[in-house]
Amino acid sequence: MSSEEYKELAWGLVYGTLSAEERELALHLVSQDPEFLEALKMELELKQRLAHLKRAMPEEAKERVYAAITGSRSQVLVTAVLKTVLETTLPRMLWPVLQILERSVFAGEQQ
Amino acid sequence: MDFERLYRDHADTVFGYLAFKLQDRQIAEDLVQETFLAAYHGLEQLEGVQSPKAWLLAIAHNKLVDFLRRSRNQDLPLHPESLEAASSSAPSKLHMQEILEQLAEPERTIVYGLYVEGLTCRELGEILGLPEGTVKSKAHYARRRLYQWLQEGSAV
Repeated sequence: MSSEEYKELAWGLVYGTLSAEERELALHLVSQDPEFLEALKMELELKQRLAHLKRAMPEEAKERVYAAITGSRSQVLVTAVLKTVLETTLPRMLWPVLQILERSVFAGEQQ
Repeated sequence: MDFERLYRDHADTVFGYLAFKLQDRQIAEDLVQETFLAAYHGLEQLEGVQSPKAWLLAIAHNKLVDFLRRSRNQDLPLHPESLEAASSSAPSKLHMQEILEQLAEPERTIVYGLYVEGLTCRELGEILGLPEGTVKSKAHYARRRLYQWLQEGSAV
């Protein structure tokens, strides 16, 4: 096994991504192979040293963004429902008028 | 998985990634919103996805690339100072940051993905649009340099 493979295996042990077989091999190497143990120590140290880079989204921003997304979801839903209602209730002769209105609203949004 | 759970479980991860890449909290928040809006519209794709985290980060990465392209065209300024309050000024953290800055892209992002988010090379390949083998070789290179710096004690 190459030293790069040792490092990858050690990383997998630290982050819990190994298969049962790989995990067994890694645990065996911990007690048998000083080179693997060294790689494991390095991987743990890197994990610890780089942990501070993880930033949580501020709670207020998280709520604001969620509200904005779900708000736009509601808007899409309301539009879809309204369209269905109009399609079934409006007399056929009024459709061309509605389409002209839709186009002008769409054109307004694009500006 | 419903949308609310997807958002609650992964908003911090997406924000963290974008903030790391942009060093700008406000723009990161805007891109989180764009990312989750796109995720909502593509929610049916999630059924065939192994890792929702990697799927969302791939969307976030595309939004980031779009944003950077737009900002280059429109000369939009970034505000790196807006993250200063959130980051600690402890000396060891600053040294680690400096060390990371010596890595080029995409190695820096790969190190972030491996050690901060615990993403596999395959997931990082999906996110960055690179073959898994390329990510692995870049990870080997970055890891070698990080080990070297740690052994030299420059990251104390």
